[in-house]
Amino acid sequence: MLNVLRNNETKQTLTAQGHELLVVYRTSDLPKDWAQYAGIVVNTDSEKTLLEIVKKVRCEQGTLSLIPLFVNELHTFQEELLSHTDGKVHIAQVDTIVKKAIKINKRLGQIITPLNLSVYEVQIQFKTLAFLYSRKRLLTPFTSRKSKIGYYFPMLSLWNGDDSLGILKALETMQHGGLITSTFKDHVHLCKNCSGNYLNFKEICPSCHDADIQARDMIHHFVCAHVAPEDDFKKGDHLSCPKCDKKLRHIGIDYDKPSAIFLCNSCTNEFQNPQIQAACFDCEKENSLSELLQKTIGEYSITAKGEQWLLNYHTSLKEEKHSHPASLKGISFPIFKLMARQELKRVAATGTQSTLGSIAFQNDEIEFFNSDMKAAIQAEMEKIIQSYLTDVDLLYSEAYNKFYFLLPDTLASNCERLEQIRYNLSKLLTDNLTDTMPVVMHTHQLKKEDEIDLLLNTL
Amino acid sequence: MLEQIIPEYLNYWSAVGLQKFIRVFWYFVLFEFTRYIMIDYVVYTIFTLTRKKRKARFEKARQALFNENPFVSIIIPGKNEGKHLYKLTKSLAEQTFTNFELIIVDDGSDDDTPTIGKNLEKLGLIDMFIRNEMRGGKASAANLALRFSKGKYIVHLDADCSFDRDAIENILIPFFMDNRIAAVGGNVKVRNYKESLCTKLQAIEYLKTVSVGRIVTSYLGIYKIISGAFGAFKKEATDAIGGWDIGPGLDGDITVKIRKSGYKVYFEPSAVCLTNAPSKFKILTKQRLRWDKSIIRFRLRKHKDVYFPNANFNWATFFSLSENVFYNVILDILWWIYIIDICFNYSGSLQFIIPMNFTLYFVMNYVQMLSISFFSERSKEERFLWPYVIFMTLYTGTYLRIVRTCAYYKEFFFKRSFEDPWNPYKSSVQAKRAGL
Ligand SMILES: [Zn+2]
Ligand SMILES: [Zn+2]
Ligand SMILES: [Zn+2]
Repeated sequence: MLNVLRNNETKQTLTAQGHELLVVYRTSDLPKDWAQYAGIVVNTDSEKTLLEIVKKVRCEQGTLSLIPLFVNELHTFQEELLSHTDGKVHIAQVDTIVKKAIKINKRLGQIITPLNLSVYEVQIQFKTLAFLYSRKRLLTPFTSRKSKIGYYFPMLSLWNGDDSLGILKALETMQHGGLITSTFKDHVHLCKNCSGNYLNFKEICPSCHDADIQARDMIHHFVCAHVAPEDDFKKGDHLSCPKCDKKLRHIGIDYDKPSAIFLCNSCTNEFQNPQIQAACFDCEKENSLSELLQKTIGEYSITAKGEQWLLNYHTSLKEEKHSHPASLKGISFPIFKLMARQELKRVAATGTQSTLGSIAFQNDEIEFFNSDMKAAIQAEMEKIIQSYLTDVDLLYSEAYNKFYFLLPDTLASNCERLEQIRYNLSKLLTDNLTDTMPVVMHTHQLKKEDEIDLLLNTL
Repeated sequence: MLEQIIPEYLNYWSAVGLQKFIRVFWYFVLFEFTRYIMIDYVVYTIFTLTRKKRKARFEKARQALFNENPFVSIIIPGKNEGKHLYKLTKSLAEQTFTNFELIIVDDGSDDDTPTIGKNLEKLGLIDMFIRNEMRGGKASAANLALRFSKGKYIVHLDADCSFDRDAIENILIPFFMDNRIAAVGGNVKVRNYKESLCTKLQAIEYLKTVSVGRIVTSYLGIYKIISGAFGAFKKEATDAIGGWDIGPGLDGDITVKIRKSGYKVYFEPSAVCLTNAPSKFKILTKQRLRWDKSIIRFRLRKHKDVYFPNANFNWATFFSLSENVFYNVILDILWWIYIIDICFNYSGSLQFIIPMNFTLYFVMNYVQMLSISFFSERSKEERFLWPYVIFMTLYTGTYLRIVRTCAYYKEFFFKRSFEDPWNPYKSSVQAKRAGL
C-alpha cells in the first residue's frame, strides 16, 4: 500500500487502499463536490480558516455534510471547534486516517437522505441521528458565552448557532420520540422573556424590590443580653452598648456577631432574607428565580429506535437487488416471492390475517470476515429463526444479516415467537461479538391491495 | 386492727384542746390556712361585690382599645420551635384583635426551623423571621425581636402555646384601664392535663398558683411574675429598661424591673393561653429546679435593693418581692423546722399527727379547689381534675418542697444557675462575673 502525497491541479490528496483523502489548506481549496473523496484533512493553523471550512462542510444538506473531516494534529485548536470534526490525525499515517474514514463512510452508506429534508425538523433530526450513528459517539454540548443559552452543540450549532434553544427543543422532541437518550449534564436557567442566559443575579428588598440594600452585622452583648445591628453600638471609633453603656472590647469574650441583617436604603425595611432576582442583560427583564425557564442540558446518544428510523430510509430507497442465489438451506428468492403472492391472493379471497416480515442488523466485525465465515453465521441465524417457525411458515435468508419471513394465518401483534426470535438473535450477536447494533424486525399484515415486490423493498 | 386504731385516733384528737391543736399544727394554721383559704375567700368576696363595677371598667377599656386600635408586635423567641410555628400562625389568625405583626426569632436552632421560618415569611404568615446562627439564650432572642418591633405594645409568646380567640384582645385591655400599667400577664393553663398524672397535678397547681394566686396577688398589687408563655408589655417601658436580662427566670426579672421603674403590673385572668406541661416527673424536676434557683438569684441577690429604704423605694415592689421570698424561701425553711419540731417534741404521737396532717391538707385542697371553680371561666372542664386533688398533698407538700429545697441549697451556696445549659456558656460567664 502506497501513501502518496500528490499535487494535481493545485489539489493535494492522500491516497491509501484505493481511497483518496483531500487535503485542504485554505477555504478556497474546498471544491464544490467533495463527495468523491473518502474524507477531508484540514491542514491550517488558523482558527478562522478551520471554522470557515468546518462550517462550509457541516452546513451542507444531508449526508454530504457528514463527510469524515480531520484536522492535522500539528495545530492546536479549542475543543469546541474540534468537536465539529472527526478529530486530529497525524498526516503521515494515511492508513490510519483512511481506516477511520472508511468506517464512517460505511455507516454513512447505510443511510439514505430522506426526501423531505427541506423541513427544518426533519433536517435537524436526520443530521443529528446520522451524525451520532455514523460516528458512534455522544453529542456532548460545550459551554460558550457566544450561545444565548450558554451551551453550544457540536455540528448542530454550526448552521443554527443563533437558535440554541431551538436546537435544544428539537433534541427534546427527539428524546420524547425515543430516538435519542440523554444523560444529565447540566441545568441552565433562562430569561422568561427572551430565553437568554446572560443574567445578573442580585439580592433585592422583599418589600419594595429595590436592589439598594446593605447588610449589617448583628451584635450580641453577652452580659446584658442586648442584641441589635452594629450601627446601634457604634460610638465614634469604638463599640459601646446602648443598653448598659459598657465598652465592647473582645469578640467572643464579651460580645459576638450571631447574624447579619439587611437594611433597604430605599424603604428602610429591615430583613434577613432578601429576595433574589435575575435581571436579563439582553432584554432587561427582571425575573424572579421561580420565573426563570429551567432547561436540562444532556449528553445525547442514539437509541435502537433512532437507528431504526435511519435504516428505514436506508432500506426503503435501495435498489432491488434480490437476485441472489437460493439461500443456503431454505427456499430461493423467486419461490419465496411466488409463495408470498399466492398468500396475498388467499388473503384477498378469504380475509385471513397473514404477516410478511423482515429481520435485519448491522455489524462491522462480520463485514470483515471471509465469505465462508459469513455463510456459517448465516446458517446459524437461519437455524435459530427456523426453530421458531411452524411447518406452514416460510423463511428466505438473503444474507447473514437480512432475512424475510411469511407467516400465514398469523398476526404479528399477537405472535410471541417473533419477539423470541429477535431476542435470541440479539443474544447470539452480543454474546459473541463486541460491536453490535440491535436486531431490527419489521412486520406487515398482508392486505389485498398490497404489492409483494414493493413490500419486500420497503420492509 | 382497724377497729382498734380508729377509736383510739378519734379519742386522741377529741381529748386534745384547741391550744394544743394549734401548737401541733402551727405551720398549717399560720401559713397554709391563712394564705390559701382565708385570703382567697376574702378576695373572692370582694371580687363578687365589685363585679359590676369591674365589668363596666373592663368594657370601657375594651372600647378604648378598639377606638385606638394600636399596632402590636407579637414576638416569639425560641430554639428548635419550627414544628409549632405553622399551627401558631393559624391560632393567631383566629384572634379578634388583628392589628399586629408577628416576629419570630430563631435562636440558633439546629433542626429545620430556619427552613420553616423562611417559608412562612415568604408566604406572608410571619412578618419577620430573624435567625441567629449562634445561640445567644432566650433573653437575647427576645431583645432582638424587641429591637425590630414596631408596635406600641409587645406581646411575648411561647411557640408551643395556643390561645383563646379573644386572648390578645383581653391581654391588651388592662393597658386602657390604667395608664400606669406597663405589663400584663396572661392566664396560662395546662393543655395536656389528660396526658399523665404528672400533667394533671400540674394543671391543678397552675389553677391554684398561676390562676387564682395571680388574681389575688394582682388584686393586692403584688403580682410578681409575668409568664413568658403569655405576657404583654408597653414598648416604651421595655425599651426604657433595656428589655430582658439573662435568665433563667427572666420572666420574673423583667416584672421586677418594670415595677422598679415605677409602673404597675397586672394579671388578666380572661386572657387565656394553653401550654403543654412536662408529662414526666424527671423533666418536671429539672424545670422546677431552674425556676426555684432563679428566686434566689434574682429576688435575693440581683434585686436585693428593693428591701432597703432608698430613693427608689416602693412599698408594692417591696411587698411583692417579700411575699414571694417569704412564701417560697422562708416558708420552705420553716417547714423543715416544723418537721424537726414535731419529730423532736411529739415523737410519741406521730401515728396520730401524720394522718391528721394529711386530713387537714386533704380538706384544704378541696376547699381551695372550690374557690378556684368560682374564679375559673372553664370550671366545667376542670371538674375532670377533682378526683386527682387528693394527690396534691404529696405533690405540693412533699415533692415540690424537696425539689425547692435542693434548688435553694444549690443556688444559695454554689450559684448553680450560672452553669445551667439553658444559657450559652459565653453569656453565663459574663453574667456571673458581673454579679447579675
Ligand atoms: Zn431576556
Ligand atoms: Zn425596600
Ligand atoms: Zn450591654
